[in-house]
Amino acid sequence: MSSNRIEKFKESYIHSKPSISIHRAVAFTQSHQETEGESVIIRRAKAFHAVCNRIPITIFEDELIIGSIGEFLRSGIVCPEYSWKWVEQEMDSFSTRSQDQYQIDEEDKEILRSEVFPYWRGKSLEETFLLRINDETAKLLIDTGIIDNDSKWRSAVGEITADYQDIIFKKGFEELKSHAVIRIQELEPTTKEALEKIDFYKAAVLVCDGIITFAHRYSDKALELAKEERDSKRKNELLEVARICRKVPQYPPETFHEAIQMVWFTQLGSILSENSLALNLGRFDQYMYPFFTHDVKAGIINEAQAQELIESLWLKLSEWVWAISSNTAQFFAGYNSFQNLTIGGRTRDGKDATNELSYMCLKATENVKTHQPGLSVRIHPDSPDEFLLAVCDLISVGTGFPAVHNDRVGSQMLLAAGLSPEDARDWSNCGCVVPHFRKVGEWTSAVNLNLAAALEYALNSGKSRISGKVMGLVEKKITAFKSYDEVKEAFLRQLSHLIKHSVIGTVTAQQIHAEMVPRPYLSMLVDGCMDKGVDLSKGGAKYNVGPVITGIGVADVANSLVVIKKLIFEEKKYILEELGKALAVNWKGYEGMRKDALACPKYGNDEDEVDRIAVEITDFYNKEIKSYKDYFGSSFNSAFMGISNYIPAGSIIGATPDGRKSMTPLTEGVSPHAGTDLTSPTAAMRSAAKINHDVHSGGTLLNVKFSPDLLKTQRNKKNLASIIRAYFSLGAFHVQFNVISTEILRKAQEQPNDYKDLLVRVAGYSTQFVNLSKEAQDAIIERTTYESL
Amino acid sequence: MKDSNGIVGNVFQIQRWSVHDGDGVRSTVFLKGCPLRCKWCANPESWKPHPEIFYFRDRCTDCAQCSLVCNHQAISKDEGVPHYFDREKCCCCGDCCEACPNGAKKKIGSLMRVEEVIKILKRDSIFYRESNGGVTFSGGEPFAQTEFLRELVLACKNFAIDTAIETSGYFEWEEAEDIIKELDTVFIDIKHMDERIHKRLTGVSNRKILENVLRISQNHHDVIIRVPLIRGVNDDRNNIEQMCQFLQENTRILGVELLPYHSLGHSKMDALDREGLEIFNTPDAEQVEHIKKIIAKYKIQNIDFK
Repeated sequence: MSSNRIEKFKESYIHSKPSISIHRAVAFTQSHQETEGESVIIRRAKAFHAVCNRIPITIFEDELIIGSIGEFLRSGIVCPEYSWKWVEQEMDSFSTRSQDQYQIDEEDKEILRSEVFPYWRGKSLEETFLLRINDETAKLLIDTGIIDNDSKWRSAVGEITADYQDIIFKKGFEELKSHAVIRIQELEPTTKEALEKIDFYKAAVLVCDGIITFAHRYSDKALELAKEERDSKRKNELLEVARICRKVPQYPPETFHEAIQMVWFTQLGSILSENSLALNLGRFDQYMYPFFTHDVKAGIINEAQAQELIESLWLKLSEWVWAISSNTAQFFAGYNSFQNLTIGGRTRDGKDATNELSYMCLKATENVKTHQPGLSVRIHPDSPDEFLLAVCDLISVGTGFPAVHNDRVGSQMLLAAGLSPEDARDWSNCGCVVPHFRKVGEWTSAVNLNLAAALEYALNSGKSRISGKVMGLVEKKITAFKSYDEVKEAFLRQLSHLIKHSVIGTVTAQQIHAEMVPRPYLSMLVDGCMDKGVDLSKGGAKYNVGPVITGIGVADVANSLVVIKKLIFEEKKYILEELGKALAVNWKGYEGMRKDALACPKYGNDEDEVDRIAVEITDFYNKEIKSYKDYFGSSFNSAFMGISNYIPAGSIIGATPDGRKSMTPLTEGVSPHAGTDLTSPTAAMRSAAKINHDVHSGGTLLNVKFSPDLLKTQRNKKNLASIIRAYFSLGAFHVQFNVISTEILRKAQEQPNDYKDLLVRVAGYSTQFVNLSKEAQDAIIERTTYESL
Repeated sequence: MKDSNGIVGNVFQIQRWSVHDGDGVRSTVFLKGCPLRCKWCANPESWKPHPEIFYFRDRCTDCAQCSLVCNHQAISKDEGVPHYFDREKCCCCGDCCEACPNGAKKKIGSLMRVEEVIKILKRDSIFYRESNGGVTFSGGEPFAQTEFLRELVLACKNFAIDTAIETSGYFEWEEAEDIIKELDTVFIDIKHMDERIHKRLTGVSNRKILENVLRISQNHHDVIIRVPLIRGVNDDRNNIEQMCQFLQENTRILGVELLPYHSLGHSKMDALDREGLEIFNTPDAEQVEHIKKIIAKYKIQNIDFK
């Protein structure tokens, strides 16, 4: 149980509706109108400064950790500099659309229409990208579901982990600012590099000033409230909060409360600067631990108070709703902002790193049941059994948290990406399941690539079955394939083609990001930028790791290829022409063939015949992707994580040879296709572990759904812990569990009001089930349960 | 049973991720064939030692696909009854099961060689090791296929896989003794203490079973008595106390596990076109707790693999 204060927050949180606050957009736009002609980075820094100075200051009742991006308890903001057209087109239906609704005031809409959007016409990142991208790539890339990177041109990148350990807690923004001032004085504007560096450091001064001012405004507001407050206890709290905001984030924190408040201000700065996904909190239990032990020892705080502060932060992290287009909402359903927070694992010198805070974070998620932060744990062979059992306890609660990661494989992935051994050991998660490190600049989710599309084009003369248009490479007719290998080769050719265009889309986006949307504030949080005087968007980070291209539908393609191999070329039960016809008519009249197709081995049942195909495809995918270099010369990386995008990705694909019907969902990550992994969870895990996880530096994801009946007793939780350890011994990276009975889910569908806090893991993240569209809800229900076994 | 390649047995299921049949994560091998005919049986498809066909009439659409593939005229298309299924003529080859587009037919049991079974069991070795789990042999009555079972148990031992057995206790001691010594855990049923009632409810006397309970407990450290608990049949104080007395005075066992009755067997009987089960009631939670207390009074441990 949480404290009364937290319970009360939680209650008002659950019952508040996400609403759009326009103040950030207005201030950001006004500033740009005032700075025409200045360099881009200075303009963006000034705009950030203006936001920090102008947006309303809101302290909610009884809060201990304060600061908000808007005036609502659950605020979303819009960033017209990235894209605005969808907001203009969609804002009238924000409150009624099927996925991720927002409230928005009529007057505010008018302000956006008359004062904000006109300024950005022709200037936004979206418009520039659409202008620059070549036609051939655009055909595959723009809102197609084939290859998709709209999160890299309709919105900002995000995907950073603030470096509390070496920068923020050590220096505070005041020292960063002084450092920038010194560098400006040292530099002579005689070269191209020096000119750019001077601009960078000037921008640094502005953003540091901005975030400090923002905190001071909160301090003033708290003092003001304290004056009016009659309750002496609350009055003292407000005075303390005012003192803290006067100190952090300007100067390094000295207490646990100060440190948490500093984390939240740092996070607020990130959100206000670009409103992007995956602004991660990194290894919270590690960087907070010194403050915790110090305060407990000194008698400043007890464990219950620390717990309350952690839970306050959890609620704060959930307040921000990511405002996105209805199209994007299909891919990133559930107001999720992917603020990942990692606990457990090993220290930089290889010891077990689990501490009291690791357990308190698990407890916080169990208590508040919010969808943020995305809680990730790192498990290694020497992780305490108690910790893994505590993890299993939280899993059994059914929030979908935490996501469980193999500590060693995470390190291997980062070693493969070029990090030093110590840094590779110090990894934390980015977004959902990407192993990341705080000194890394990386587009961890650059493109989602639909593998089933490549198969469709291979089997359908390069054409989409849904639209009938040629989308892939020109391909021979299905009747012309003489062997299984020829079919497979055709698929791999089509796949390479999609990979090439994914690369083009990414590099083009990287180019205009460097030109148009430098990230002066985030450059303060990532090591390397300040030393080099180079912005994050221009490769300023200590490490630059290549962008990640995520494959969707491994299981579907492997299952399809094995059907062709067995039924057509081995058993010769059918010929390709018949299969082609059956797929063209969505199996209508070919029920017998479909039954045979469904009876073929399916990935996820530990059958080598099909699993080896999945391995072959994923290995090829990795090698092909790695052969390309990004804008900064780093090799691209592969991943099989998948968000909720397996649903829209499936909606553009016709029937597939594995028996799947037209336009139905594909499969996320390295999970088996829903409803086909009938053998056992151990078999599903063995199939998934056959894939060479360590080479996919962008992460891999396995979703397993359990009925709560299977996790009631201590015995069962121990078994769960054991299969996690076994899965990791097999070399796999990540597993997450949905522990909800289908019966409960159906009830929640019928009576959403009674199940407002029911969390489910969608894929890579958890969100409230009732916040999902009917379609997404159905897909969750359909996933195999092991209830009856 | 032997074929040209060695010993074969009739297996009707190998269930991986079995978590209620002993410690840890296990795989359970269900062997077909049972000398008992318990009137509450949950797995009546395990009775006969040869393969059988489940026919789920509610899934059948009378499409007649199965009659086209049957080479034994076991499925006729008589007027009005398109799917008269003649089990006398059926050879249980399973062709009709493969032909059925609706999953209305399912073949139960197939002959497997020892190596085939072991290959599947070894797949989850890493899960057994991490969880202190292993393999459980169940049935039917696993000792009804003594030769096959012996080979399976020895093969598991070779790979250091923990083994358990779930037996009715109705078997010839001399034939099973060496296998029992190799097994790590033995689950053995006591269904009723009264010989006459036992005979009426299961078709056999309990004398041999109780003798085997004694012998096993003298030869083995890890023995768990299982009681399928049926309301009004064996959950009375008298029967339970008699059992406890018997166990306390004559045996060394780890404990007793109560398995409250469930009625899943009936639909299976229908699908086998067979009769002979009776409808019983499940004891309520209160009654189960009450019985557990009686057992505890005799200083016998209540064990639960839930």
